[in-house]
Amino acid sequence: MMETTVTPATALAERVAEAVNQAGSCSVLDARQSLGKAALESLEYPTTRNERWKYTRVAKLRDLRPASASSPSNIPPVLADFNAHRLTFVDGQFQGGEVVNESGVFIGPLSKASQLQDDRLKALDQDYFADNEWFAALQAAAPQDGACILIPDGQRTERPILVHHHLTAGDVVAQPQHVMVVGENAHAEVILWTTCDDQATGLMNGALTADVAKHGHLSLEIVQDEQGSSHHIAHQQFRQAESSRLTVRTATARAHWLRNDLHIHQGGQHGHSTFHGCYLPSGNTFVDHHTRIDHAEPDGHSDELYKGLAADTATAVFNGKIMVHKDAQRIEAYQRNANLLLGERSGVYSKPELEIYADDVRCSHGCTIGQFDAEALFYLRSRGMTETKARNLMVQAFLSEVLDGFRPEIQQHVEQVYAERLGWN
Amino acid sequence: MSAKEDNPLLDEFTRKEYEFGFTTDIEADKVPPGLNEDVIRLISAKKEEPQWMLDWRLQAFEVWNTMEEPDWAHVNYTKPDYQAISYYSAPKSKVPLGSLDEVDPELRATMDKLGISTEEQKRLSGVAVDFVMDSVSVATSFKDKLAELGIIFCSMSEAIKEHPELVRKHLGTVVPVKDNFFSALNSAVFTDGSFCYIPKGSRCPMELSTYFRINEAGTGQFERTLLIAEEGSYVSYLEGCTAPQRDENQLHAAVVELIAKDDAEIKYSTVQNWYPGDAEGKGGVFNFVTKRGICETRAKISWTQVETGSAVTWKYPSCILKGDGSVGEFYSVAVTNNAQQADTGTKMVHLGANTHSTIISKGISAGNSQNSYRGLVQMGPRARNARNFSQCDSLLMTDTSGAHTFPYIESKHPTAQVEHEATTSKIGEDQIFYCLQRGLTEEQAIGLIVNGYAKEVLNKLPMEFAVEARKLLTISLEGSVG
Amino acid sequence: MLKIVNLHARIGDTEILKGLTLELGAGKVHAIMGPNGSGKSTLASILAGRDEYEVTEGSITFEGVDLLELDATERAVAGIFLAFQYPVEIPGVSNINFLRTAINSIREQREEGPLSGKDFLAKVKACAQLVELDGKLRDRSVNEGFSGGEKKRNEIFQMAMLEPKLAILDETDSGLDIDALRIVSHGVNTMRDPNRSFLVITHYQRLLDHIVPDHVHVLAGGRIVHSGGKELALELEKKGYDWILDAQAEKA
Repeated sequence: MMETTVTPATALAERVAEAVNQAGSCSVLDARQSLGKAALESLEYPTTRNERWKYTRVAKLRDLRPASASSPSNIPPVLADFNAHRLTFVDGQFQGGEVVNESGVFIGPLSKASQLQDDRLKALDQDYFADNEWFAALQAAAPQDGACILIPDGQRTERPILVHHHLTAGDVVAQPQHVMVVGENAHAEVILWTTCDDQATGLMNGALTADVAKHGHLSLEIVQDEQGSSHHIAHQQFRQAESSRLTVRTATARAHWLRNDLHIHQGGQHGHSTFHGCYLPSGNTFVDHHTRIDHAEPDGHSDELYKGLAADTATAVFNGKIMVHKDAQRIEAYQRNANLLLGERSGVYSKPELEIYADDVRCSHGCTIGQFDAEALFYLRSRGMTETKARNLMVQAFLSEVLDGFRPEIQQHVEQVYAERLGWN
Repeated sequence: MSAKEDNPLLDEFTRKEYEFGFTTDIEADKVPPGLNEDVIRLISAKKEEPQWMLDWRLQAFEVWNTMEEPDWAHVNYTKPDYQAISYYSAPKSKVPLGSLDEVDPELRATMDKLGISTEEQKRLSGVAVDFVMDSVSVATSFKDKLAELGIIFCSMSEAIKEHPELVRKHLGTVVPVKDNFFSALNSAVFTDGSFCYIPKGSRCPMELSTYFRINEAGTGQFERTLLIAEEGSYVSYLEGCTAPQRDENQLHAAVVELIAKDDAEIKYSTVQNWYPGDAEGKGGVFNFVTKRGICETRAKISWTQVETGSAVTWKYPSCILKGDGSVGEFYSVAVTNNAQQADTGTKMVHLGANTHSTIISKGISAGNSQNSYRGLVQMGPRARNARNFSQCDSLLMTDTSGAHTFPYIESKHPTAQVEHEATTSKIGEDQIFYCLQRGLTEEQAIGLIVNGYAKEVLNKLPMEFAVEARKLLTISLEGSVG
Repeated sequence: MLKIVNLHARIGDTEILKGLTLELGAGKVHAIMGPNGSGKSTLASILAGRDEYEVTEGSITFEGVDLLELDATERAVAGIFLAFQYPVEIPGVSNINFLRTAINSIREQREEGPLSGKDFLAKVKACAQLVELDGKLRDRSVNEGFSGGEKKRNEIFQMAMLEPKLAILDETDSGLDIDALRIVSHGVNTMRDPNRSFLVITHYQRLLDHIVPDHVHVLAGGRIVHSGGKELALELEKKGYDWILDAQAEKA
């Protein structure tokens, strides 16, 4: 091991803990919090020498001096006409929404779930599996409020649940904690939407932890539509029991600097996971999708597809790991990452990984980095389209494989943001 | 119902002896184990080297002292004790050797046993052979014939003496001393290797070939190969490696540097069959090798490797595609069985415009082995219209082996295109049964299927090598289906 | 030549053959017909030695030797050939190299010397002509990218090359157009010989117009339920299987 001179970034951790305490923390998951605190002691602050942070620079974040939260100004409405069960959070604090607590169903802020003493929460709390990441530990050590969604066995959400988190202006640090538990044969549809004030410069270091029980199904749509120049690190961990289904679709519509860490653990046979994502960094922005799926039991299936573009001087990073454990036979795992590189000074870094310790498997990954097909572009123009229109159409076509999976309202919104951002409208 | 159930084949195979595991009983001139400046001075003195070479080595040693052994590869081993290795071992022979006929008969027998049959090769296939045992180059055939064309093919020691200007100008320019831990070590202690120079516009009329062999116990082999192809020249170079069976691990840390000037082409093929250790993972060669080539304008470097040996392999033959329109290729078959571990692949660094690279990697994992592909494709900011295509396939023979793929793909130019595909699957039971039904034995069936799977790579090898490589593949996988 | 007595076999927990008894004489062509799922292909697989099937009862003797004691390779060496219903593709292995390896492997196990290159090629030429196999197909990878008809012709080509004592044709007619059917049948008919038996497994009578059998057996529910001469095939074509199955049910 190379000798590292990096000391634990205790100072930053202390500043963040203090800011969180001032703004209001949420200690419902106390076992997890202790684990987080302990981990912070031993983990090192990531540097580009660390394989998982090779292309993701967080050195500047170390000097962050969290400001106290400004009073929530204009929180942009999200899918205003869309009929959903809404919960709104600002800077890690519950802002309002419809709280439901009846016959085992709980939909509301985690802070209010503390009275439940719910076993489902306890399981999630105590069996928390950390990824040994400094920022994940930071979040776990000083967590704030977030959505808590508990759907008992056999039940399903009537309307999609729309969880909206907003980060306000200035150097605010928010560390929301979202929790979801989907019972046996239960079905939940959730939309997680993040926004930022256009004056935001702080850090959103949030976590989402979810359990899907036997034959359960969690369908999650994540929309990251963040203005301003904040940083966002998202820790998303999913555990799947036997014959469960998980669908996670992530659309990074707008972000200044964003890192998604998605980790799925198939801990039961016949698990089924779909995780798709799209991204389009432009200007001088940075988007990083790290994903990992663990096939720990036989007969699992996973389908991963991430597509994106990098324009101007932006950087896109993709890292996907498929891990097939010993004796997890008959796994089918497919991963694909496709990128269009549009800017003369933009960059794409992709690392699709397979780690396989069982033999009866079908796994594949593919990765492409390229540009628009000149032939196709010419074809469209020869049919009378302007260059802008043609490019727009091709971006849409390229991303449609991912975006078509979202509900139409979201697809429309994301496509519109992309079109605006590329200035092609 | 079938004999397959209790699998006597597997049993037999795990006990199968390493085919090339014999030692050659030749008196060796060997320095005591340990590494310090005095040992380096001794090596340099024994080789009657000029002062600049000694200075270069000492400087490398200084650099090495400040470095740490890397541990990022997907392999697990006890790091060698660098003070327990003997850094120089030469077969003792009093008279300098002029031709193959003067070579020690024992040594000749060794070569024959390796299937080199130099005499025959000389007559039939016209392959010029340099034979490096332990650390010292023993014989180089065909020298005179090549000399007529201005081609230099000799041992590195000889090149340092006879062509110091060429060596001095190029040594360490592709793989700098401080490139990595093993390249620094090699730079300090390398004892021999091959040197090859193809003058402008020449097409080397025969395959150049070197055989490496570690013979003495407790020695390391640190060969250094430097190959320079001047403008518009062409050369095809082959290397083969074997080592006898030993209980302890032997270290092989070679450095190979290729320089392809404008419009030159170098084809570099390796069949690596170092002793892999026994079924429990005892013994075997640590193969920690740095191979890299640099391509000037429209030059081409093509690496082909068949890796079946070594306990631990750490090897990434790479191409720096510096010149516009240059081409890099990497074709690899890596087989691991029993307790072997391999972390191998390539780096294609596209600096120039219109550069192209192709990567075809076929991994085969059997026994309890771990086989990883690790590769980097980098499109630099000036790599206009650069192209890469990579295909990395893994074939699993047992449920106790692992197959891993770690590609790094980086692009910084919008007109560059990178395409990477990888698959992992199990050897087809239907295919095996089909072969059995036609009367093939299980070994033959596996040999045939695996050779078919690896065909794209094997086809890139020169004829004589391809035959040997096919046999090797079959031998290393006999009875290995789980 | 081949004698199957009271054969019971299963795959996993499903019993497929339930007391099958059948005897084949030398030089005869026996056809096995039967409804889907009756166990026809299972029988072919078991005869060839596929080890997914477990034989729980009964015996198979081939020329006096207990076939169940032999593995797949040994059965091929003994002279059993299976023309697969779905011939498998083996990428990168040329058809010709495959066959040469097979022939020489069999010869070696029979303690005969290898076939000389010249003799081998002469044989390839003759056998390829027999099934009108294009030269290109011989050099391509085994079955890779072959059409359905080409694959079946390739099976018969291999059969001609290996000269088995017992050839089992498993649904060889499935997926064949009329020309390919004619070619395949011609190949088989040419191979008929007093020392060679054929077991022709088929769902349709169509193939038996071209390869006229000496005996026809009906396999249903894992047993041979009815046997007769070549005219039985025509009767089945006209009346279907139900009358036999009904008669069986009545008997029981």
